[in-house]
Amino acid sequence: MNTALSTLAEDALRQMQQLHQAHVRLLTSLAPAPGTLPALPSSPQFGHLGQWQELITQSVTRQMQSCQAMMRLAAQPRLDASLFTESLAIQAAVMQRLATQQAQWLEGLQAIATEAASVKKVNTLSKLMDQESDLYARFNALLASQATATMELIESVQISVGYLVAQKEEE
Amino acid sequence: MSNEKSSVAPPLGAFNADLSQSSVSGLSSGAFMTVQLHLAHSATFVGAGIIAGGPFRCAESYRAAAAIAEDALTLNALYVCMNPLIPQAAPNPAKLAEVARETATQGLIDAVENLAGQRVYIFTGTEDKVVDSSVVDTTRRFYEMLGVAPAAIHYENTLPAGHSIITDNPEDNPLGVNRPPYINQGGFMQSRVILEHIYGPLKPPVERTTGRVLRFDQREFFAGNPRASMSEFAYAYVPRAVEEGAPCRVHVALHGCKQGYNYVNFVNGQPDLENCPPYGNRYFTTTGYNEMADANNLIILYPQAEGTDNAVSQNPEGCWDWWGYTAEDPRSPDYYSKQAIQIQAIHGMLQRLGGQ
Repeated sequence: MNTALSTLAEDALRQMQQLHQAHVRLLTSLAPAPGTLPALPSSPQFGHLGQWQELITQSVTRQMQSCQAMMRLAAQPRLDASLFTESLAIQAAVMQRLATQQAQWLEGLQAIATEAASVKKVNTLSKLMDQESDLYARFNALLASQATATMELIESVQISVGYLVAQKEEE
Repeated sequence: MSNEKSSVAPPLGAFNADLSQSSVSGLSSGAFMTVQLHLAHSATFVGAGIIAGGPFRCAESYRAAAAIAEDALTLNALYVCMNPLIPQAAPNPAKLAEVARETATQGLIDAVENLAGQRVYIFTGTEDKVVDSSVVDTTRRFYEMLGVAPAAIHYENTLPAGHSIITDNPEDNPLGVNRPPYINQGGFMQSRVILEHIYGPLKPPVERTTGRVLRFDQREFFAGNPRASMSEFAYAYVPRAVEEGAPCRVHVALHGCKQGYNYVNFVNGQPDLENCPPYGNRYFTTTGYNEMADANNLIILYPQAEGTDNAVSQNPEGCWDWWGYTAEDPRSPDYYSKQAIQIQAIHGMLQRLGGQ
């Protein structure tokens, strides 16, 4: 079990390092090379980029810290068996949330398709435009809610794992 | 986010209230605030009602969640105190009980020993998807660890209710749903169960109230400081007999997120001023507290939080502060103590009602 946990943590650590490097490359490619452009005053777009960078860095750091803590725990001679059962419970909870998310996605698509297929009485071009726009807006809202739910799940896993591991280390 | 600028509301008046018999209850963020207020001023209260709320200072459970303190508090609130992935990742009641004792030793809250003789109602619905039942269960254990006798705790966790305060109003949401205004129909008035658990047998609610819902300007209690994220007005139900001088007791009823009188939903990041939800006044008019108050000479105080989402405070849903958004310094957040801006304001209202 020690080896399995250790391998899991090492894999996660490696993936996080790769993700971090990819992220740094992405941000570097987006930023203007020195000397090619005159310095720009700070704009809202760059402000947003900075927030993304900061929060993604935090997220990667959080993941790495948890992985390192898991490795420390796995290396201990007397391993707490509850760590293994709790990691299984977390996996099951993640699967359950993904299944719920999938069901919500399908339900949302079904609702939009049903509305699109239904013939509504329209007397003016403006009302027709309004109805068509509503469908696009609903689809966009569905996409956004799925993306937000995925981000929430990632954060939830990170915090839960980190918190559990931190508690084990304190014991 | 406020959608109105006021005319004039009178200040809160004083009544013949015995403040040593006060109590507090709340839903969701109002329940988290109930726990904080209860602990901060446990010498004043005789009991508390907690509907879907977590234990004291649980948002500080895992500081390493983020490098920036403010971010860590928010992440804790969301993923430890509201919706942990598994029950083991919920707040640790033993640790938080210890934190409460230390906080009391520092003089920031009243002595926790005051809780020993008090009565506490705690509720979680099995269908609650907003504040998980595993969290509310830690609130029960937290109170027990602070000396509240198990027999003095009415813990209800079997009803298939969503995130809500329960009423018997036919127009309220179905019992199992989790959506605003978070007032669900379950065939009974939960407010009555709370008040009867705290105070013992009470007279049944009146059919028609005789008193008034008084609107008052609550800004004087937080000096109009925008950091408080509290609205311009608040409300108090005062039975006619109490207004005429009869002795009374005070119960503080704290709404949850999205339940303040002037709550406005944010759509695409902007306040949707043209489509204000029509339920802003339901918490202080239809949840059954007033009918019980009228029959039993209780004043029900309804302070109001306000939605704000700006550089001063991130509170778009108008929640009470239980994760430090009002803190001047998030590295040392003060949202739970007697000096916390919202707690100080609510306590000030309570004092006023008692003529102090």
